[in-house]
Amino acid sequence: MTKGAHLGEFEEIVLLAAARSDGYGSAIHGEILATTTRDVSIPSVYVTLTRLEKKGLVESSVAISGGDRGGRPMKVFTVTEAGVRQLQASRMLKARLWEGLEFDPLAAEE
Amino acid sequence: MVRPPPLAVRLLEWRVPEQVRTYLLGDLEETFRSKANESPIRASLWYWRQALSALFAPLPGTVGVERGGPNPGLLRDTRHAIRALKRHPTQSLAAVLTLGLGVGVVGTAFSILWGTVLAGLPFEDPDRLVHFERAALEDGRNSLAVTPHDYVAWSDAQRSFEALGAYVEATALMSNDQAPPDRYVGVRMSASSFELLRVQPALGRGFSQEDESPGAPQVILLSDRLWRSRFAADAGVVGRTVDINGLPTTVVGVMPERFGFPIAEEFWLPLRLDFSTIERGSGRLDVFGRLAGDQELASAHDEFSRITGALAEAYPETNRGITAQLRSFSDEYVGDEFANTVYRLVAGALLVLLICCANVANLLLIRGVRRRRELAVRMSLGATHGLIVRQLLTESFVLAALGGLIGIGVASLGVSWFNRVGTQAGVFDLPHGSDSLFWWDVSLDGPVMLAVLAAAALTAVLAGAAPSMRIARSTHLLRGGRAGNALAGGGRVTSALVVVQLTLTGALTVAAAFVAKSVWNVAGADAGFATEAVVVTRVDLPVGRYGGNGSGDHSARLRFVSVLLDELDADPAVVAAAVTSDVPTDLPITQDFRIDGDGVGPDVEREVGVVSVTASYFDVFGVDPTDGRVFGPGDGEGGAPVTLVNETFARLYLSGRSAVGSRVRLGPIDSGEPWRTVVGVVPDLWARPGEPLREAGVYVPLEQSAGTDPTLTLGVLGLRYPTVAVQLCPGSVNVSDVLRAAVYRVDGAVPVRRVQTMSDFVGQRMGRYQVWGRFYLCFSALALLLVAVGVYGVLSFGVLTRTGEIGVRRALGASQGSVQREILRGAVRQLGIGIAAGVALGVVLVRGLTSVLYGVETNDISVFVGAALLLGTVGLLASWLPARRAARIDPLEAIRTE
Repeated sequence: MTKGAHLGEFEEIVLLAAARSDGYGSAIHGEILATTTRDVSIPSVYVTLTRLEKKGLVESSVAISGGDRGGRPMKVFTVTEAGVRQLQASRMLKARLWEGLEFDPLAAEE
Repeated sequence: MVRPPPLAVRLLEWRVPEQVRTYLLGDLEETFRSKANESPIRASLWYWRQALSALFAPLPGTVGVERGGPNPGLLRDTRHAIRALKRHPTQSLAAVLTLGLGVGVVGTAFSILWGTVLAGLPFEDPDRLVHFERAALEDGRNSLAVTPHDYVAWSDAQRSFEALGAYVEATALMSNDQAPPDRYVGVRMSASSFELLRVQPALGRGFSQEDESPGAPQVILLSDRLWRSRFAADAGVVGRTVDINGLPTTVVGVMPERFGFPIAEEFWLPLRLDFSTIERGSGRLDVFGRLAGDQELASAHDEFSRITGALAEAYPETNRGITAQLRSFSDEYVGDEFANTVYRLVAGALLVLLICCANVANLLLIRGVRRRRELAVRMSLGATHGLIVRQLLTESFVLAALGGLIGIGVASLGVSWFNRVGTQAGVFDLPHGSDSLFWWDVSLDGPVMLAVLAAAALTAVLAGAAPSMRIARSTHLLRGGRAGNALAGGGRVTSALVVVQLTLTGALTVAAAFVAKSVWNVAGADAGFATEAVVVTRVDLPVGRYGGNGSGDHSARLRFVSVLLDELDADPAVVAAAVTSDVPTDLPITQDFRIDGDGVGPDVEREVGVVSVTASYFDVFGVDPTDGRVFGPGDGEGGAPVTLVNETFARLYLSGRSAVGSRVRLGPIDSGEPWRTVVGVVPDLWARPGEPLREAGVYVPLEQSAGTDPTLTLGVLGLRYPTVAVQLCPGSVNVSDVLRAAVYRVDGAVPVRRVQTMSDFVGQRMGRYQVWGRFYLCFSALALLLVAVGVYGVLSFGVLTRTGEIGVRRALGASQGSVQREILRGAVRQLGIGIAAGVALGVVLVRGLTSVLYGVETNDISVFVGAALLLGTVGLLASWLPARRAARIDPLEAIRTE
């Protein structure tokens, strides 16, 4: 894995939240808030998404909105194949590092 | 529906690059709305946080993304500025407070200006609404009402306006529903008016053409306030029938909140003009119109001079010399006097702000000089002049931003004070007899906030620019070991600033001295009649029971008065009770008069104010006659016709003869009014608020005021709307209950509106002197404080920079006294120039204040001298401390610091 493709913590959170939700700014923000209780700012989510798009980990399309957006369209981000691979790699890497550790909370659950 | 805070949205629109703007704003709005369902306030705060984070987030597509922030230099400067300000907390606090006060004062004054004079009516294109009057310029009368015939003729002939609308004031005695009977003030208005104003009722319908025909069923539109207060905001009120002035009337609609056109009306009845009964040349209407398309007021003027010219030819008897006067609607109702007073208030506030700027500029300059080493190091490390200027300017912007915040706090205090005292009845004396207008809204909203921010930014530039430039330009800073070099120029600038400050403060002090004397006069003004323990109220005798304006109904009204007085006299809490047409401070109706045997011909027109009173009037107000007697029980309906005159009348018209025993006849020459014998002379009582009646006045017994001629309206009006005045035993409570109960016992259908003590009544009418007066006192106190601080700061600084020089002098034998004298001499020179210029400027300022000054002439030399002395004393005190410090400089210590 090259350094340039490495995922920062916030990038990983945003990428996962995009995969778990409908993939537009407000939905991603809501997902992060619900799962991590971090009330991150929507502009910073955009900054990260734009960076991820530049890295080819997400791609975006414009969708006509429903709901209370003051009639504005939404930009929907979907995780690309490269993005999925990146997330998997990150997960695998950590899983390997965790293996055999006594204080692994997941291991304790089993 | 809750919307995101507009300013934050604006900020985002400005800051966020185009390629993501719509999406980001959409996301923010969506989240905002879901949050707003729980708490709109939290949602707004959240939205603001998002907007602010966007300011600093390296958003895609913005300049500087790669470097990791928006304009890092500016951020760095801001951080640096905050650090620099923290390093000198006292000085920074002084600057921030000074700016805060200045900005707050301007914010207060501007919100008053905006809310009352500038904002205009809350309708579409309000500045295209024009008010019409007629003028007979040959007779010097330029404010005549429009007659119904002219209104119709103008409407048909004109093309400059979409249409004309008309209204005339009306009162409505409302009864026959759940609430007790009460009288309300409103207008009869043409159906076209609502369309011209672009206003629709909030409930029900407006007026139609059919409502205007004289035989149509009676209908009424209610104001939002009346609907809430009397009908408990019941939407079912539309279609209900209420009793208005004894006629069954259907409520057809409720107007929107904050609609009270033209003044502060509580209801609207259709305007019904029955031309079969209205003669040409009689009747009175207020007329307005909305300029059509791209028409301008000037061309409309031309058109109307043609129209009135044609009417004058067609109807010379009624229309000769009559022209139309066109004026912007809000200007007409606000009036020049009020507007000018408010403009002067803003000017005064700007003076205060300028003084604040000068003070802060001095602070910054002094601090900049102290920081010369730091700046010199930066410059030698490659900082350009531009960068240094930017740094220093950033510091003053940070100061101004903090000052702006405090300013908003100060302004909100000022605004709430103004709203508390300024909205009481009778404080302002506007045209058309109003004291407040329905569209007035003095608050710290959008435009006012912008003005406050602009004031703060202006302050930053004014206070920061000169010092920054000067400091940055001093290239020999590194050589600044000898402070004197670097400061030679700075000293001149600070001295000049002090003189400017002294001048502005001088002007304000002069204004404030006049105002202080006026406020003093108001507080000490002796009304010349009893105001304590006297309560007054006006009662409205319903037309249905007591008749209209005809004198034929007089006896029914007299019976009411006499029964009411018996009822009141029987009450143990009442010392004396009277009924009158006008209490002191009401402006009485005037009448022509003749004096028996004074040789003045019938062609000489003379008028006198006429007040009709019951015999006990002078007891209630504690007024004794200066000659003869006051009215007694024998001066009733059947008694010999009598009158009382006031001292001015006696002096003007009865000098050289015995006033008592003279005979006066009121009314037109051919009226059948009897000659009245003068039985006494009473002191002049106030006619206008706060002003002794320097006009002739006479009193007639109410019982004798019916008059045989219906044009003699005094008695009729006096009895149609009689004022009841009662003097109560000291310590009486529930005074309004005593009055209400008495009126209710006599006739349950007669409404009693507000019961007021006479002292409140007088106090309120003196209110405008107090309201404006306090503003100027505040301004000037602030200015004096600032100037003291400024003079002190500058001189202290001067002493500090001359420490070495003074030390050398002292070492060479100069005495403490001579050093102190020298410092003071410089200060006195500045004071002299500043005060002289300030007093001169003050003369101009005071000229504009006459309308808020009570009992002071604007050329009162003693006041000018007092103001100059005050400022001089404060200035000297502020100079004396640094001078003393200079004198105590130890020569050895001083030379060592070099």
